[in-house]
Amino acid sequence: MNCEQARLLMNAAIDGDINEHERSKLDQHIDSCEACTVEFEELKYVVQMLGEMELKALPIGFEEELHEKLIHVKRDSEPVKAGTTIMSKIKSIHIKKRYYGYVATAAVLLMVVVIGKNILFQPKYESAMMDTAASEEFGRGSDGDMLTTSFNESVAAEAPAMDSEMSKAEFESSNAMTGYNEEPAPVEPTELTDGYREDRLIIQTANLRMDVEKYDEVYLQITSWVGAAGGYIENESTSYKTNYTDRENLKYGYLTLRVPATGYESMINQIKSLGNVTYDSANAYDVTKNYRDTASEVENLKVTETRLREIMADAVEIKDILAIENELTRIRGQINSYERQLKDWEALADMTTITVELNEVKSLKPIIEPIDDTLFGKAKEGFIGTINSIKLSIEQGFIWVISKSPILALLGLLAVFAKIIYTRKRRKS
Amino acid sequence: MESTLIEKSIQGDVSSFEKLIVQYNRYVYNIAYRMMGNEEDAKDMSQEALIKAYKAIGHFKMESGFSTWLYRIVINTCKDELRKRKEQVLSLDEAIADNASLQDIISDDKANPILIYEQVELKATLNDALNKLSDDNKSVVILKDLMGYSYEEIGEILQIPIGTVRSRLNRSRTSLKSILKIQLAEQ
Repeated sequence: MNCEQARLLMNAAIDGDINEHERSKLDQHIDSCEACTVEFEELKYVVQMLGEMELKALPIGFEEELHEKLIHVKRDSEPVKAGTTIMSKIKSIHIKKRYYGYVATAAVLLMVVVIGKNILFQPKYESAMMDTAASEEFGRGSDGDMLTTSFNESVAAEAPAMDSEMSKAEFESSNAMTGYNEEPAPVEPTELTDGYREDRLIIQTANLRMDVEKYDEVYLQITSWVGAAGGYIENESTSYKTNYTDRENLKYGYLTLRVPATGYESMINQIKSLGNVTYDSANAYDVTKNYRDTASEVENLKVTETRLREIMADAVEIKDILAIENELTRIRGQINSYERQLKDWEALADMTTITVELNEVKSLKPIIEPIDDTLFGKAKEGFIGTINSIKLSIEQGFIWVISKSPILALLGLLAVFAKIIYTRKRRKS
Repeated sequence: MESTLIEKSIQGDVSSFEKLIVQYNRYVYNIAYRMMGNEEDAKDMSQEALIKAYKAIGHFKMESGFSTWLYRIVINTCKDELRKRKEQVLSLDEAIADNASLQDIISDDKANPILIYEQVELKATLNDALNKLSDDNKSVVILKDLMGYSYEEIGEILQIPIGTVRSRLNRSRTSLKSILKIQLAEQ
């Protein structure tokens, strides 16, 4: 444990928000580090003192004054209240307790009818309502965001539709053929003045599994396309199928491609034309929010860093300089790790990942074999099976004897020796 | 008990509301006092916050504690006021940079005192030191160290994640410590 880690743990230790393992590590460090001992004691002391700060008594006349103000507020709000809030009116209607049950039942029935009708007959209306709700939500969410100053309303209104389409759009091959008319990913790398992306960051991935006839040709074709599109192959592997009944030397392999987001769809369509697609899934993950949060965190840290540098310029005492330098290193480290994360996201959004599994088959045309399921046919099959298995076991026996012959010969030799010795002993006795 | 008082308060009954808040008044006032730094403002702000609470009690949802809700209003009221005034509430960094007193401190023999040996003066300066923290940092320290709330409760009052509570508290205490040292050295 170094001093930095220890300092992070100190507060947790003071508040009892620490486990035993961490505590013992912290204690160990403190025992060996004088600076941290002082730091820890000081922190504890500050916290203790804060705890000892006395509660101030309420000033004289506080409650009376408050009471007057409250009465005043009440008087002001009363006429308005009576006019507008329906709830208070409803509450003022006194319903006798024994009627509560009937009223409640009637209300529930009414609700069931209304809701049921809405769900059954007006689905369009309801989904439209949900959409507006979502867009409102979205607009609110982006309000608080530091970096979304130019994130205008039209984008916000469009976004929910895009969200539902893009995020987690996973589908099987059955509807895959029609599924790819998604809007092209809006990931043109426009840069902000301070180096952050302003547009949406969407990380897209796709998985394809295909049967192909000529593995090597397909493989070369894909490689050349990827090269032409400005992408690269991140990962690839090819092997023969291990199935030994297969005498065709068919191959199986997969490729992980990284292609620029702009060429993503045409690339997928091209690849699909090379064989029979047996599995197809696509996935889009929107990291815009995470990205912006992290970016603003970086900005904050940078501000802190500049401040620290200013302080550093004024510092003369070695101890101060060291302390500030410590803090600077820590902040620099944080900035770097956040920035790395940002770069990673940018890279992931710029280059989509496509995994293609290739399965070589003899022919893409399905093979249909006649099925013989008469009684005689089954008997014949069984008979052939038995003959084959007898043949196989004889063969295997033969092979076993031949293959183990060296050992058998050795054992035979041993047996002969043993016999000779045994007979000699007998003769002597 | 509390819930019936709340219901009556929602209907606008002042005396129920007063009964409801009587046990919290003192804490409300003290939070405001630590946030604002002086008694006059503390009184104004705590009363304003309580009136706000009275007006808004219809929006109070029973799922959070009443005190949590009330203290949130107090802290937000104080923060709003402080922001409105745009008074230079000095944060730690500004405090050092603006006063440009670091040189004086360093040239002084008493520079970098070890806090533990300065017990007497410290208490007097603690309030000043608190006032030099930023509003957000101050509110965390007030709730944790003065009022003794847990991290979870603070997260709920301030509506921030626990991780943020933890890091803010870390930052605040360290800042507070440095401010105290500087103040001691200046004396």
